[in-house]
Amino acid sequence: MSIAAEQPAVSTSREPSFLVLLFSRGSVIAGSFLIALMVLTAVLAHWIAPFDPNALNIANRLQPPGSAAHLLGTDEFGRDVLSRVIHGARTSLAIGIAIVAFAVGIGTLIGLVTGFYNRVDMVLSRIMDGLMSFPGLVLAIAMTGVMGASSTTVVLALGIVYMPRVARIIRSAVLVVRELSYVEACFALGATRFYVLFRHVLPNVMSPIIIQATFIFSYAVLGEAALSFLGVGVPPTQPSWGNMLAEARTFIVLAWWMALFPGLAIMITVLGLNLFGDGLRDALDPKLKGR
Amino acid sequence: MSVAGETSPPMLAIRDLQLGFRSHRGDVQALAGVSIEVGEREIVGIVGESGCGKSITALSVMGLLPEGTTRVMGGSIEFRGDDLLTLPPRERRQMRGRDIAMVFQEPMTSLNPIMPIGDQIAEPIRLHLGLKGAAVTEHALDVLDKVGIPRSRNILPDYPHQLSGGMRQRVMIAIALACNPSLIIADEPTTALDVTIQGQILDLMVEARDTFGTSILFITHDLGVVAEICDRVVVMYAGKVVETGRTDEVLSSPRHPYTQGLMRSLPSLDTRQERLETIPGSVPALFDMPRGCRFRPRCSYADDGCRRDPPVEVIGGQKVKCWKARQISGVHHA
Repeated sequence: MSIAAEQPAVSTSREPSFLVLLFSRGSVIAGSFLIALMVLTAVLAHWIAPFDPNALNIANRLQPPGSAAHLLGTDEFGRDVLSRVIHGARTSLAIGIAIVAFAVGIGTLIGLVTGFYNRVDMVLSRIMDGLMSFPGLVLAIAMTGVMGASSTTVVLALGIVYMPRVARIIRSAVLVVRELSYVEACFALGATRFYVLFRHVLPNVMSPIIIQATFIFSYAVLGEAALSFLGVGVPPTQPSWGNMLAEARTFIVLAWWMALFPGLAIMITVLGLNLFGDGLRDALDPKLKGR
Repeated sequence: MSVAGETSPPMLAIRDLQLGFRSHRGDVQALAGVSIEVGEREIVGIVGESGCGKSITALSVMGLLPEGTTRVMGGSIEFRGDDLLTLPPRERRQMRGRDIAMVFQEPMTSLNPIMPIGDQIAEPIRLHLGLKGAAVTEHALDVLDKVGIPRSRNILPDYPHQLSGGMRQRVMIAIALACNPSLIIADEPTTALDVTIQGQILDLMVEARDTFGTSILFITHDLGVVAEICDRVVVMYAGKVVETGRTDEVLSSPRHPYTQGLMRSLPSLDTRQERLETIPGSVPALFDMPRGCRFRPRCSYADDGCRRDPPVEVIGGQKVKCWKARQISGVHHA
């Protein structure tokens, strides 16, 4: 039959691969460049940082940028700002990734279950609503109060704060997918609910999950910085952008560079993630395909 | 043609099925005592307008009624002697796809868009036949061959959007036939297809019956399709069966005023008509059913006597639920 012979060849040649589609967008290229820059900085921190980020040098404190081999100046203990920004990338990105894994992993699971099983939906969704009704940072500060300030606490606290958002978005995506006729067709084949949920529904809600992951990542970087700035985040012994900002607050009039460079690092990371996330969302949206 | 013999028990017997929808106006009756029988190797058509209960009848046989909003209020569905309505859910699930399979209306949306069709055909094979590895692929290729898809090994890694509508419906039928079920329920499988493809799919279904002995319950609103493939036809109106009989008899001499109306509203190529005839009025809402005969408000023969529940009249091989059936038939033959 000629229908069978022609069809696949015609349609495959017409559709560019997803990656080509994705990287044809300026925002995605710019975003991935900024993200790659930050990731490389974090991975290579030990080799590219000119100084030990924690080495004190009281004689050289509060040096302005460009002076005596300190490209971005020094802080109130004479620590090199550039080295601390570079090492701060490790902290921020590691914590960001951990928060994304936690929030998206558990959020997706809860979203799938609440969207698919009416019986647990009522209870779990109200719990999610309850978590969302707390201001995120206040909840995180309260948790730190109970568990003590550490990287783990930051991950848990922000993970719990962002998890309901993921759950809610996945739930609404599942509500759409579960009404589609291939889901019914699958039940008509005798498949169990569990099988249909993980084999058919989950892959079909992957695109909102991936998009959410990039945005949660940028929220997480901001959230970690905010918590560290407030002194309830990463312990001060560990260089992090939020910690650096917190210390810079006292010296903002004397040493603007202490605040500017970690601030810029945060901005570049969040900008990169958001540009990438926007482009990803557009590329994954079937309505915008071919544009 | 094989019509259910009077002696052999039917494969599927829906008896006096009553089904309610829960709504904010209270429970409404969607099916008011529907009885349908399907014999071995028989193709039975259910015809009726949207909302007359044909799809919901099919779903209740499958056990796929939406939870919480629908309730079976009476009757039984017997399949090879077992009452499906009293079977435990687990056994019912195992029957789906293995003993009773379903083909849906929309071949565009009835396949998972992001899963290669080879994997989708493999699902019922793995699930019910317990095959693994290469045996699954072999079986899938066999089934695809049977539904007339050549070069099928090349088609296995394809995604549904790479296939035409007709090909997709063939794949759907392949999936339904995969475990060699005794009964296939086809819910308007040709409605979304071109007329030429429609013919091929209908031929395929008749072929499935002839080669595998599969019975088919065919749901449609297209009397042309019924004429083409069905041995018997069941006409439904507003949640009730109004007429049943052999297809040639019902279509050549319809006894129920509603069936007659349906026949008259078909366009004809022989006579040039300015306007098609229609049945006046519209289907009554479920919560506002007229007493007695439900077709009464739209029926030109109706009188006060029709306010009582109509009896089932047997005229020749046809069963007609109408007070006026004999009178109309007389008129019809004159």
